[in-house]
Amino acid sequence: MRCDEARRRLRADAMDAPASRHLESCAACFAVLEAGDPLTGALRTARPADGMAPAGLVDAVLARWRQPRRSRVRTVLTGALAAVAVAFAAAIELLVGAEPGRLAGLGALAGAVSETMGGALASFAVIRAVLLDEPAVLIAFGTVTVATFALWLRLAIRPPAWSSAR
Amino acid sequence: MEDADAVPLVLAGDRRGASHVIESYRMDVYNASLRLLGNAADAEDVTQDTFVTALQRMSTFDSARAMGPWLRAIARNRAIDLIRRRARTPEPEVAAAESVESVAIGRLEAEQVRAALAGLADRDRVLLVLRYWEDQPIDAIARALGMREGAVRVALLRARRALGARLALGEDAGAV
Repeated sequence: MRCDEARRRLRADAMDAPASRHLESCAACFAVLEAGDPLTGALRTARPADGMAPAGLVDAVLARWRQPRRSRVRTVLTGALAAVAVAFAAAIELLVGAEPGRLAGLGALAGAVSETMGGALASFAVIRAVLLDEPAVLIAFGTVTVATFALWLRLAIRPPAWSSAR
Repeated sequence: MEDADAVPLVLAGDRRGASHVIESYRMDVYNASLRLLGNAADAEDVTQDTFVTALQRMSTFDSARAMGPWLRAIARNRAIDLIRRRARTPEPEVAAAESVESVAIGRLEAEQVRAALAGLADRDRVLLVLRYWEDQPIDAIARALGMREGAVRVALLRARRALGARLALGEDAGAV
């Protein structure tokens, strides 16, 4: 159907099926019919003026907003994994570092790991010696480590109020 | 604070960022909702829902784009969802009145047009509001309503005719 025929028929009857099918695929006919319809202008003119938003909206939304917790979970998990890794490395070094050959019986890879870690942590030999020779120091060191981790965990789970001031 | 500064604050859970977003766009979002829904109570509910949704989905927002259109799009979708959930019984078909030109368009008051618009079937009203009050293009209306673009063109034409019929009835009633 030609555009002029479709427009003529739609101006007379908006329910005209063949003309409607033409309109579905013809943006140009739609634009012409819309521009020529006096109701288009009347509708635009009748757009209501903006009203005031309701009071208390900010508080209402903030009360419903669940602040992101994913970052805290990730922080806690990361910290826990780091603590475990450090504790594991420290245990290996304390128990095996002085005697790299102790793990040789467990296979070449275990022996290689032990030797590598013993070499990398060689600078801590003095600290290791003090901790092993002075149980009180070892206990104090362990207590401080655990307390520091607990405090960090507490701050990660429940940040203080000043960290998210409104 | 600029919107670009607020986004990372929101993502970090900082209320200052959230407050900035709400204060900056509360009027836009509320009025977009009100134009579609036609009543203040529903508009207030949709406005709250819009901001809560936006804050929770801030990670999906493209900071290179303006935030206003993004929030208004969420508001429109929420309003349309609400209208669908509260779908009214279909309005009785208004008998085809005389042609639109016979309605003295020039004498129409804006209030008459708004009253006639409020009396239309939900889909017709939403179509006309999205097109002529929200200035949405055909493709955006099609996406919002889950229709084909061609179907939107036909539906808009018929919605304008339905509005014209209601206005003509009102004119006739007034003349009696």
